[in-house]
Amino acid sequence: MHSKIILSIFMACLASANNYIPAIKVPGDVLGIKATSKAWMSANFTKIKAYPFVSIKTNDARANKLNYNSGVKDINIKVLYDGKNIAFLLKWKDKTKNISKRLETDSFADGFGIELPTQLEVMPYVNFGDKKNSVVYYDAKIGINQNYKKQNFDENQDENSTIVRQEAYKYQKFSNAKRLNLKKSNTTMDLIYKNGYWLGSLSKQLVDKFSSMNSGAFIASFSLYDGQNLQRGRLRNLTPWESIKVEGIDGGEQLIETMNEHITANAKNGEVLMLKNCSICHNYKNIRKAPKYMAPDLSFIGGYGNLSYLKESILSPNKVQVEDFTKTAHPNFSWVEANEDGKNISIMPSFDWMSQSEIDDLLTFLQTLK
Amino acid sequence: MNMKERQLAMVIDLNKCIGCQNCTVTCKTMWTNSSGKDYMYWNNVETIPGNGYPKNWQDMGGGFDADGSLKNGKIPNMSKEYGIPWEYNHDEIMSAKEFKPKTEPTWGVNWDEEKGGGEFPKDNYFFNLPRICNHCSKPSCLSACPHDAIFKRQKDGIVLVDMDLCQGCRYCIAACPYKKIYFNPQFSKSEKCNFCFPLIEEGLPPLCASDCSGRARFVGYLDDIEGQVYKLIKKYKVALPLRPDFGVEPNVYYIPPFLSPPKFDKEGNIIENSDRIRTSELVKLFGEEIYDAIKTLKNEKRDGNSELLKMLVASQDKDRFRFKNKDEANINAL
Ligand code: SF4
Ligand code: SF4
Ligand code: SF4
Repeated sequence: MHSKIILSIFMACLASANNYIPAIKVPGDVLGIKATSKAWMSANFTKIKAYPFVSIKTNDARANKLNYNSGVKDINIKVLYDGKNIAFLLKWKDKTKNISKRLETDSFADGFGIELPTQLEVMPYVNFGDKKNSVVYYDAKIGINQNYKKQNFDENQDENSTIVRQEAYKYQKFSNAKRLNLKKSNTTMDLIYKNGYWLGSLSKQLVDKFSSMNSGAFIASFSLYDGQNLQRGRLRNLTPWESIKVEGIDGGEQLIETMNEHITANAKNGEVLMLKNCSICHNYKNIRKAPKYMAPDLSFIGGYGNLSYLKESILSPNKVQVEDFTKTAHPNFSWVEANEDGKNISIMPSFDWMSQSEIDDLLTFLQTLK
Repeated sequence: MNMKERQLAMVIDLNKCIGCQNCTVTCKTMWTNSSGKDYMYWNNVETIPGNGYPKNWQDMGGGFDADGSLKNGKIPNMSKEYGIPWEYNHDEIMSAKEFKPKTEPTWGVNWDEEKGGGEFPKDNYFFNLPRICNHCSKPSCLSACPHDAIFKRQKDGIVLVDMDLCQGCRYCIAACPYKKIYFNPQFSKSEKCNFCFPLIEEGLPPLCASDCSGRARFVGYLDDIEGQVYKLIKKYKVALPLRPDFGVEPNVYYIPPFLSPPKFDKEGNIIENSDRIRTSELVKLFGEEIYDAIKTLKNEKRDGNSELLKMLVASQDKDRFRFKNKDEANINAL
């Protein structure tokens, strides 16, 4: 959704449970706090879910498969703020600790990512933004200490000589990144493995050059990378946009309500409609009739796709144009093409000819794909 | 071709490559001599027949299929396929112990050197195959990079990685059918041959070409019709790309080996007009064009005055390296 987030008013049965992650106000300074800081005791965990991001197929077949089967993961999350700065803590279970090793080329590290829109009150495409709406993406993984200079190749790597490799990028669309300087913006990330869990944290100023969260509520999305499943880049477990209520600042109720929209119409009929109208281009779950690279795989779209995004994609597919893995990866299956006027349009047609109840049914079914 | 959209190309004469590894060493010393790059060789010389470096790279996928879609590929394993560089027990040698590697070597950049094929002395043979990044016209590494970190320069076609944007996800490595882009685990970035672009910008040839003791390498622009590179590739069609079936339009070309010695019969007599390196065996590497290329080379060899043969002798630097064509010289003079 690239215009302002507006409440859908016409939906049949919207569930009204307003789930959000509270940002708890604490005294003192949360800038630079570590994942193990005592300050986190002031908040309780909120549980959210991260789904395998399978919309695109990469050229690493093994990774595609492991990612697809990586399962839905729980993230326990806390958010603190001190009036000026904000801090996130993510805790998730992981049986295997994967770090990047000095003498390995084909193994991948565990880690996490936090995605924030650069503008308040817009909802970019959840997978790294879209042409009109940029996001900042913070990413942390355990890496090798770059000053590590053991001359003997055969000596085992000292596990303590690892660092948290933190990076931040601004994305304007699927494959258009700009590296941001974390130090300049006083942003720090931390990542440690303890008793079968990863603890990852990020702290930053509430308002900086890249994003602003100085509002009653804002949205964020979270990613997990599991090295065991060869996850990296787009392949990851991803949450939908989650709403975060900044306690002590007024407003934001409407945003939270929108983010929590859920529709309960006739899923059975939705499934029939999906098979009839969508499965020619989209693969999902065990429905695999579409050519391989034709359109995004929708197997988990109900997981990481917010309802308002799903609705918009069906009615106005041109608003957020989603590109394939990369622009030149599958040139015969370009998801965005120039029309006669040279304007880029999505190759997906609009389904605005459907009746209101059909759209509701279809959305209800889409929500179950997770 | 627009002056801004030019393509540098290299031609390597496999008949002149003696496998001295000067190119490998000069590149290693210049570009991959630091931590995290220990195992990588942007230039390597392997022996055919052999498994090459990384081991069995030809079977690791990558490139494009007939539809132009990226093919799936594999990221080589450091210990199994590149080989972890090993150390010797220098510190123990004074105590009269055996001088030996401290760890069991598993594979290396020149592992099957001169292993060759055939049966000694009847028809044994081998030849050397130097390989660098092909600075492809359709680089699959670039198409696979989800962060737009790989770019191809318009002015010379050199393919480079932007270290600021690279995030170490390695789809590029899976995508390169030649496995000529490498992962630096210490910095979590992918790195590759840069065609020695700082030298190119000074009008100088890449180091692996200028340090070639066999004077086997030619470098120039593909649109320079007076240049050796153009003539060998386009005019005589004797320089062929490696594995053209990968679909990435590589820009390193090879003069195939056409001077192999004749075979011996059971009694040890020379079999006239026989070739130890069979052309049919070269088809997998260089495509069907190999037949015409070898025919041309053999015919020209019989002609004492052949422009092509003189060009291949190339004793002076200027006979091998040419970075300006007439148009560019004129532009510079303006
Ligand atoms: S040889 Fe490989 S790394 Fe070099 S440009 Fe071609 S695809 Fe890219
Ligand atoms: S490792 Fe770097 S260059 Fe390769 S695909 Fe990933 S971001 Fe691109
Ligand atoms: S062109 Fe330069 S960087 Fe590339 S292989 Fe040769 S010496 Fe190495």
